[in-house]
Amino acid sequence: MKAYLFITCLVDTFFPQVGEDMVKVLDRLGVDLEFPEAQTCCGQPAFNSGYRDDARIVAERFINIFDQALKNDQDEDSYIVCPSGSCTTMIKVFYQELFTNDLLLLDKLNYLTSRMYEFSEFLVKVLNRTDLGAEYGGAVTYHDSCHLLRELGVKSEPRQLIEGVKGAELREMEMHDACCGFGGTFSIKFPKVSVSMLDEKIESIVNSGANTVVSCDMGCLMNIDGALSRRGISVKTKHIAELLASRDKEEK
Amino acid sequence: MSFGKVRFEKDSAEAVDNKALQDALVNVTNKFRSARRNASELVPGWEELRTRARDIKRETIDNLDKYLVKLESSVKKAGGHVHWAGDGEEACRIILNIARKNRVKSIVKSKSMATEEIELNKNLERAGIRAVETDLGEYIIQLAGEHPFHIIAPAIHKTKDDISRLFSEKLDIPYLSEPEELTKVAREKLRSEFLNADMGVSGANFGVAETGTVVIVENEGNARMTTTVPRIHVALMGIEKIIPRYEDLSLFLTLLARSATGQKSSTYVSFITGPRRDTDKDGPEEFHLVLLDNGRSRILASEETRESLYCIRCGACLNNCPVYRKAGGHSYGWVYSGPIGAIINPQLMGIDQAPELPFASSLCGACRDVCPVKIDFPKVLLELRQRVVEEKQKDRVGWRSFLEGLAIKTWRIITANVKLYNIALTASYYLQYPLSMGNNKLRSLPYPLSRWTAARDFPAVSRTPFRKRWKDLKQTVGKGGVNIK
Amino acid sequence: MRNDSREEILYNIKTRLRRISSKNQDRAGVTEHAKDAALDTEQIYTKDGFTRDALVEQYIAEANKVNTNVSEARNDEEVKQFLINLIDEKEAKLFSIWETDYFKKIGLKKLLRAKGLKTVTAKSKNRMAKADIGITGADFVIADTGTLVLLTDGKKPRGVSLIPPVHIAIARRNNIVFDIGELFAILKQTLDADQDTTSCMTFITGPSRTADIELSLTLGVHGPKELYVLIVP
Repeated sequence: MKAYLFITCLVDTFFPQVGEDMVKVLDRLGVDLEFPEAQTCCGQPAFNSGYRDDARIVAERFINIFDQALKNDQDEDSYIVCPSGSCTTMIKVFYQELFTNDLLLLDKLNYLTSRMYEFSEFLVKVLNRTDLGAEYGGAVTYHDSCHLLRELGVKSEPRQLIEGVKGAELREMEMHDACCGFGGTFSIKFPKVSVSMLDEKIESIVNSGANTVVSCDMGCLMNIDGALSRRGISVKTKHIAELLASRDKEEK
Repeated sequence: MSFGKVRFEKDSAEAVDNKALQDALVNVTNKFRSARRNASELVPGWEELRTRARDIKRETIDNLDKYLVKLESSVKKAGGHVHWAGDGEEACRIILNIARKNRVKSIVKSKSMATEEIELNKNLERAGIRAVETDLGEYIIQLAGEHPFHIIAPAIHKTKDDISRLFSEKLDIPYLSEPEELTKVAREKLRSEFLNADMGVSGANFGVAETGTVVIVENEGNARMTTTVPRIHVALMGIEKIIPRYEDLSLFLTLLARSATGQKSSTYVSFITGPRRDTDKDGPEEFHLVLLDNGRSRILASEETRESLYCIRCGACLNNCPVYRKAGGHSYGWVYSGPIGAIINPQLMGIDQAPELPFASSLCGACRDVCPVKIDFPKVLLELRQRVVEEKQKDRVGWRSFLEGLAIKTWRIITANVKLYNIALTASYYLQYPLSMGNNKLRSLPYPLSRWTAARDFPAVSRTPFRKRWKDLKQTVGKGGVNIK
Repeated sequence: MRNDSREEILYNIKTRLRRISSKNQDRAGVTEHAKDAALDTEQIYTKDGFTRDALVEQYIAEANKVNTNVSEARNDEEVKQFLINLIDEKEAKLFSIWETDYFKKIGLKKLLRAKGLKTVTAKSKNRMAKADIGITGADFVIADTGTLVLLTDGKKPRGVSLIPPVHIAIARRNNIVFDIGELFAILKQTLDADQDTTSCMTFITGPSRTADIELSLTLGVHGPKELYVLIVP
């Protein structure tokens, strides 16, 4: 079984350790890994901002790179794995809006969509694993990122994975599925509303009593973490990959 | 307040700072949200009902001309009159003509968003005709000279004290502190209005093509009074409110009250088919249905946004929207607010009047989860964002839009070429170094990222992005374990 | 009334809809499917196997939730006694009533006259405004939602259940249906038989109410403040 990694521009640029941890976890499970080096971005920033022509150019490039990767493989059991709910959504849900007339490209897109998974979904649905031998002491709360939850329908898988971590106690926060206020450029265009939404999320996290908040999207986590660190609140933020890669008996 | 260009960022920023408003918003949205959830859980097959409702709406909107013609003939058959209004101005003229022809001096109105759209009261007043709002929430905001704050509960942003002072000032009565007392005052004042009015103007929640029946949903009884007591009844209805068959009401009424307030049924539902019959003892002698286009047929042209017309005005999207919860109804700048406001205000007002609205959303999709007709709000919002960008590029509006366009072009050039991308990655590390000084968090950044760093730290670009680590990483995988420092 | 607006609106709609691309569904197919959808809804809602007693119980439970006072009477005597008790309690003087065969049978007008009480005609809105109690029947009762269904005609004016501050509705057990779906299935039969529709059908689920002031519930805004329902055989 082989996984082509779509790391995402956010993880690549700002949080490479998340990518490394994802590699670590998949490697422990015996998955062959490849990183198509021509990859850059899925195009979502342009798409969400209304610049579809620009998004289309970048999207077409993505499709060709990963289509080629999958097709070069003789191995039937190849997948594309991505540590981001929102980027996976962009490709699996919104790309088709960009290519309604290009049948050849749509064909490639349909195939690669069928082989693509967000990281937590891949572990549970494809690899059928929820216990990865990880250890992490402490109470963990989980933030449902919007695209992952509502576009991809991934809700129980991350929770199962958290529960499979030895020593971790899952504590649901009250507003676990409320938007954290990130929304990409929304956080820059309407900062007051965005921060006010973030305030409620932070309150929910703190009230849960957890000392770590986990999510599958670095967009959300960088938003949440940005506020936690600015306010000096000692709750840690971890991407699900970081949690699953940890083998510490004590809190890191 | 009057309608003008929507200023969502400015108005929502003010709303966020208003603590009393924030408390009211949390209170009302929490209550309606859990009420809707509880009510929907009691209905077996709720999800199926939503799908069917959407199917029926699609059938209707896709055949709107056919159904409008049928509705017209059904209403006429029942003895009513039908008028067609291309826009708000025309609708006002039609209603004014009916009033003038019948020497109407005073009008009572029940709640109708469509009448707010066309600014009916203002136009009637200019013509010297008194128009009194009879729904308590609308009565309150009419006294205050404001627009509705929420589709279902228009005055929910006002405290008891606000209302007591308002009544005391505008109605020249002593200060009354209890809602019971305030309601009693409204009942008495409006009772005499009902009895003396020559004409009643209502909205319509549904118009049934098969029978010509106009359906009005309410809790107070003012719509019943408005459509029973005065001699003439005029119902203003957006053309998209049509449903095909009488029996479809069973489905839509089941969805409407539960989605709006969590009630199994609103207190009163009136099913009005034409004026009184010859043998009836009461009821209006004349019934007029005014069909309002006002930009709705324009929305039909676009397949991508056509579902905006499916809305049955329940308000569930408002109650579940994390943005509405902070920004409140007035930030949306027009009659409709929340997610439905974000999609129809730009389409009905003209996208140049509300270019911010399609972006005033984090695209979380909570609205779509609760919409009884399953409108795909994020999809429509994304489509509208594209239109805003196209409009702006045509008009070359403002330096901010110009800069944004430039930034996107630059971004695209870089991300479409991996060599440029790699260079940009390295360059950005060094460019930001003076600000990060090797730390992994930045406390302050220049515009536009200053809008982020005002309240949050921003991550620093990594010295070694993932792609730079891959070569070494690749050496360590496939060997039954990864050695990472 | 201008005809050109009508033509313009219809023309706009037609031309905009005709731009439906081929990927969109076949129009006839959608119509058929949606027709089935409407019928299927009936299936979800029409429930067999409910006893009359169970329906009455359900109605009472739902009605209580919405501030309706429900009582039962076993015969005409008990009906009259109930009315007399309520009239005395409220010290009501002026009444507005339906004049259906049922009320003729129990002799409502006679009863009132015997107590020296007067009725007003619904033809006069100003006199109606002075009435203390409105007494009606109920054409149907919906158990699932706690709703009374009143149809208007010459003997059953609209204002009776609306204008006086107290409304008494006498509902017959046989007229109770399970839910709104069942009601509309029955009404559909009337429609199909091409009988003349009523000018106004009204659903009444409790007394008039509002929560417009700080979401606090207040009863008796513009409609009746109190609703009494008497269930009879």
